[in-house]
Amino acid sequence: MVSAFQVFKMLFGLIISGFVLYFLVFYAGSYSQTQTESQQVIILKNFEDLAKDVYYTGNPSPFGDFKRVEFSMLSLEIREPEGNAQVVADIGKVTLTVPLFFRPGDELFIDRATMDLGWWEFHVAEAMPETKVILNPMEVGPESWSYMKEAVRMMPSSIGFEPKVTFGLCDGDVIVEDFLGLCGPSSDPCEKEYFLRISRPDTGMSRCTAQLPEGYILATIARDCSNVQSGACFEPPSVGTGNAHIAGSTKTYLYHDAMDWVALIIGGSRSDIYGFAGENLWRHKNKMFGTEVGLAAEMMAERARMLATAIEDEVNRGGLLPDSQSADCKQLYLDLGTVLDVITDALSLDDYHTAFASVRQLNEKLAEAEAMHNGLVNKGCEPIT
Amino acid sequence: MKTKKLAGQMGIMEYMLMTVFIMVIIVMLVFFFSGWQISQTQMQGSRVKSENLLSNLKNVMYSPLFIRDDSMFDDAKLTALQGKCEKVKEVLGADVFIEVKTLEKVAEIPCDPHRYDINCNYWSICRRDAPHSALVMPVNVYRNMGNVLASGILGRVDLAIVKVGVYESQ
Amino acid sequence: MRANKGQTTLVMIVIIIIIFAGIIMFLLNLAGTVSQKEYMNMYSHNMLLSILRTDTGYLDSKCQTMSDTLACAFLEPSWVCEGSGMRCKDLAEGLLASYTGKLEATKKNYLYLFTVEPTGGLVVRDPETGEQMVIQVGNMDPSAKGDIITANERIVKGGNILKVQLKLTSAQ
Repeated sequence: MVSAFQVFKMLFGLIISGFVLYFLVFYAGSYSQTQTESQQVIILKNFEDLAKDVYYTGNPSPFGDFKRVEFSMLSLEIREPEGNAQVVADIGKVTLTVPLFFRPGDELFIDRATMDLGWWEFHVAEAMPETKVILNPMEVGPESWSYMKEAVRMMPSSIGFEPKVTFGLCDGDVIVEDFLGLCGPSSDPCEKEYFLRISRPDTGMSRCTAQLPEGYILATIARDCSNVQSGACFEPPSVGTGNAHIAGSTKTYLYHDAMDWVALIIGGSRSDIYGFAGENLWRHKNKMFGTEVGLAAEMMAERARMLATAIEDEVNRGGLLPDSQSADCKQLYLDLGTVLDVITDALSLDDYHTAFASVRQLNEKLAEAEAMHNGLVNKGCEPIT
Repeated sequence: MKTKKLAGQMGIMEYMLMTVFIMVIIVMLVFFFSGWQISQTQMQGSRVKSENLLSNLKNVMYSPLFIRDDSMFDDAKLTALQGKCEKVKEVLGADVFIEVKTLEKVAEIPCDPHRYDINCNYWSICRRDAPHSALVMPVNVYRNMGNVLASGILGRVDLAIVKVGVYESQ
Repeated sequence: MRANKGQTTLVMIVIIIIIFAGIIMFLLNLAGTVSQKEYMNMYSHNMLLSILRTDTGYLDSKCQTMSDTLACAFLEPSWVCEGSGMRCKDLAEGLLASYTGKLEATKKNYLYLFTVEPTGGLVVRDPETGEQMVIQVGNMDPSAKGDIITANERIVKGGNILKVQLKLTSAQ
């Protein structure tokens, strides 16, 4: 027979256990939520650090932390008016101070693209998951083909890394990814370096009608971009500039260098609450280019003028012979300074990248500045970069 | 009989006492754990702050806006960037400041932002009198006109210190 | 017996809490040192690299930079650097002491030891003592143990290799 005291002990034990269990479950639940959020914050911070590291050092790297924790949202927003990229996740946003072309994925490969202007190098970090970039060159004129190759050259090089960014062509309903003899010993999809060996065909390809699986992005080069199924479409360039379109968008985007192509291709026609990703990356690239290269041009112009004045002072002082090689640097510096001033003024306009006339003049002046800088290097006034 | 009654009451009292004690321990654990989480978060915050400082330092030491080569600053670039704080902030981030000083002289000779001067040895960008955290690093400064000979100009590499800091948020 | 059992349980609970608290404090302490180590690592490598790249102020090609002068000190110790009136070895030691001293003034809580010695089978005798030549400058005890960061570089000249090492630690 169970005594009253024993019943009391059992009931008391049940009540206390129930209370302790409830407390543990409640606390563990809220703690686990905090832990998930903390992990997401750490992952975003790690991504930001790695992207900056790749940007500054040029050493590519894979990044697989996004698969460690479930992200219900991962997107890219462009912060206005500065134009900085913000990676947006459930927990919040992380703003990057460096230019970044971001395509979401669980496992990313981060590399750096460079636009060499001679007197300056403009870098962009690129973060992409396993991607097959399919090009559909319906127009294969020399300038179009050269632009296409230059854009491919600026895309990530994943040889020796995972995940892979590979390239292929589309002709009608056929996708060609393995170019035997060109893409390495086995018939693997083409990595960048191998794809660049492909020669320009005599005739253009038919519009791509092939069904593109997940992980494929399409870039079309055509005079008529009206019926593009997905991705970005580029009208052939004329004097280095041209119009681009994104499938599903009615807007036209002016491109003036191969990096604009890269931004539109990587972003593509994906759209979310922040708009078309291709459009966002195109705006981001031009904003960051304007800010960074604008400041660089202003600084290098002033540097050039200061050095020219200092050289003249030394000649006047008698410290430097007027016919010495260094004395010849003075005029070259002054000329470079003048051209860089024009570039600074052109890039100071927020919408410099939206008008044909301004981008054509910009391209002209950038080419001039590059030639002048090469002159300075050949004279020994500036180091070889 | 009396002993049995007391034994029962003693048993119940012991249970009650144990229960109270367990409750006290649980409450203490809750407070302790919450306190630990708060201090972890604070510690995480201060670790993020020092990691950000280090990140800013690395950014400056690798940025072609300031350098000629890794950890080698260009004196003409530094001079040209003085007075362009607002634009530098757009590239490096707000609240960041930079100071560079060569070490051949103890005295600080500020460089004129509009004139190239081989004799100055101190550059500052976005520096103001405000509470801040900073890190220093030994670097080099390339003096573009370090050696002026009749036949030509040669550069010179000086030993220097860079200080990169962030102002405290107000 | 029952009373003792209750008391034993209580004591056990208290001991477990104390152990738990101890582990937490240990972990907290450990986490704080990671960022500091990365900075010191970066500091030591940069200190070494920047000293070696610094120009001496003399245009003699054998004594133009600190690394040139150090190489000269071991390979041609009696060479007189043009413009300095000093032998390579004396100039190298003097400049190294000067540069490290200037950096020491900016980071007073760091102890360092800068060592240069031949390696790879190269034997260099000190012209004065006749012993294997080593240049060593610093305010750290060479036999010091503990948390020491080490940065290494090599100076390669004419097939000969000099090992340059900087050890850095924080003064307690």
